[in-house]
Amino acid sequence: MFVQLHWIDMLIVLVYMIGCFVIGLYTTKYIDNAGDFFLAGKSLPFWAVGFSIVVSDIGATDFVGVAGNAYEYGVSAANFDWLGSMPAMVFAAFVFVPYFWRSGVFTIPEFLGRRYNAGVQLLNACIWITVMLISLIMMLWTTADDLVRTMLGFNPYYTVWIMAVVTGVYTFSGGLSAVVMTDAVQLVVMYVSGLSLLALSLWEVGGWSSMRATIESMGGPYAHHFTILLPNTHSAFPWSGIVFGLGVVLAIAYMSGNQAIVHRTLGARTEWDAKAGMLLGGFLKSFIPVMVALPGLCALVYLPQAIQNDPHAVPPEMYQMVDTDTGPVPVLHERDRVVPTMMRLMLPPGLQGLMLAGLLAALMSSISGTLSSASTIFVTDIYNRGRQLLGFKALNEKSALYWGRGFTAFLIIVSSLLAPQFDRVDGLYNFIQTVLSLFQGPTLAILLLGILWPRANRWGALAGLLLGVLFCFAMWCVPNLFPAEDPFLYIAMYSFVFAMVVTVVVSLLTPPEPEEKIRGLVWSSVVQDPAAQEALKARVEA
Amino acid sequence: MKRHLFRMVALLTVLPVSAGFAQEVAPVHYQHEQVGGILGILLRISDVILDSWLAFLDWFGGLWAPVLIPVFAPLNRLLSTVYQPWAMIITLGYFLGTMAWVAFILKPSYVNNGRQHAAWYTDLRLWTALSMLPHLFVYVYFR
Repeated sequence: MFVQLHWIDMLIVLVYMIGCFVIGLYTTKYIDNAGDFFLAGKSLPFWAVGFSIVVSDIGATDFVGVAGNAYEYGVSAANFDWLGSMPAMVFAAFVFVPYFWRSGVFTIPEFLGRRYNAGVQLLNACIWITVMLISLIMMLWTTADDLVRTMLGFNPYYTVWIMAVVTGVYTFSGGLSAVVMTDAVQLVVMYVSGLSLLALSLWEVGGWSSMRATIESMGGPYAHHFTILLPNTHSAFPWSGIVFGLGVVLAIAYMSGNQAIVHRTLGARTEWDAKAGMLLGGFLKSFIPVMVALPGLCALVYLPQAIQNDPHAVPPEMYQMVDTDTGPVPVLHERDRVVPTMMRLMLPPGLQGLMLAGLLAALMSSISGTLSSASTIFVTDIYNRGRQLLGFKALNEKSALYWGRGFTAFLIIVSSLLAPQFDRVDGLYNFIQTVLSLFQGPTLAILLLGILWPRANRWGALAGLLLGVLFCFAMWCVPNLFPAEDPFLYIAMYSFVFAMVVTVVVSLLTPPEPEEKIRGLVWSSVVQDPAAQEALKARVEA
Repeated sequence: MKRHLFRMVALLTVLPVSAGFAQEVAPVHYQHEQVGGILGILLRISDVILDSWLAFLDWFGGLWAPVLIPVFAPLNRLLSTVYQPWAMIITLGYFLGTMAWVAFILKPSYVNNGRQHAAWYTDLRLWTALSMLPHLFVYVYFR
């Protein structure tokens, strides 16, 4: 039942893995200090920033999860990469990135520390380290279990460790430079393989029009498969949650407040490169649903045909018969197994290797990006800041570099050890979104108010973040509080509003920040004032 | 060069050892209780942590339900009655509004600050419009 890889497939995967490894290690020669390791020496051109944002954001979880959602819910699954990306990336490029870049920070929590205080910085950093650890574990397990095991039958423990070691070593050695350089290669591999899968899927189902007509004729649960904004009564993606929760809150919070995304723009050589990189990333991301969601739709037509032609094409325990207007149709139990099953049944030798390399590219880029961002946050905002708060000297460049590398190694080992626990989680894309939604709303609220409203102060931000996260958690724990089965869209929306209100009220009840402190960090102040920036930096370091 | 060689050797050593270790201790997929050694202990500890966590979530949800349900039930009812075409109107307005904000409201000097080569093709207002236009067509097509 598993794919027997042809020697050409093995060769393609091997060449790809060794190529990434060598490119990653090559960049090590440019790493002399913490600035080189964490921010690539502020030398990245816009295209490298854009490429890196896309491949770091799109992991194997997206290939698997978005296709699975499209299989079950239709094109509305694409909202996450359309409505949930481009407008948010434009806001990120023109509202947040210029301030982050100009303030010369390494991380978002560091920016919050400068704008508010160390408490907000530490709390935000701890939240992101936790989120990144969970994301890493999910990425590793998804690829190992849902992809490689379904396709090749390999033991997932084995796969997790191989992926962890290969990716961990080059991230450990080359930092952000290695991540961005390998991301450029991985983007090409990912797009070529994704477009190949799309082309073959459409070919097998007789083209777009034929596929659309077949699915629409099935009626029942498939009646809305080509409606992008679903009614508010829809159980998974009701439009109010998609438009307000995803488009206005989650997406902007993700693109502006997520270190793994913003990290690359902080390493851009100019402010223009940072903004242009963000826009290019948004444009390239627009193609992801085409490559990822459409094969999920094609599976609705292709898999029944494949099972009809060969009853053993898919094991009977993997699917159930669902009544439709055109008769009973076999539908997979687990939507996350759609893409691997399609790859196994459809792709010829050579393309299977390319597709596997593409999925590994998606995984490796996300792992390396997350590792790099997590180690930057740990060293800058937790360890170094903690030392300063306890009265110790700040880390020098060499020590920061060693700690960054050490934490990279620690994180990947812990993630690999914990990965098997996540076989309990179904619908992993939604699970990751749920975890993110717990923190994104409150984080966006304090970031947005921090930049747009000079009156926002440290107490307001701390209360907004803490109570906002607590509020999210309470909403998440109450079953059936919202009409959607995965309530993360509503949680993000309401927690954002709640954290905004708390931050504003507490800020108004407590003294404002001194004008000198927030100079250069808010929209209305003079942002291109080197003297102010230097004074700010000196005060933070003191 | 020596450094690179050292890393290659380290990788080639660590990779098969860790993979072999994983194979050795995880003979049956998903069967944590059958895994022995240090990994087995870690897996059982994480099992206990996860089970306790799930129990805590149930308790915490029960605590907050009486407060939150009366607040959100009316909001849910209100949202469910909103006329469906408003979804498309708001979405298209969001895309168009974002484009107009960058093109007409933000100062060109702010949008293109830091640009090294001033030319029409490096103007980020144009980039914004070109990146967002395809989305408008897609949303109209799948309305």
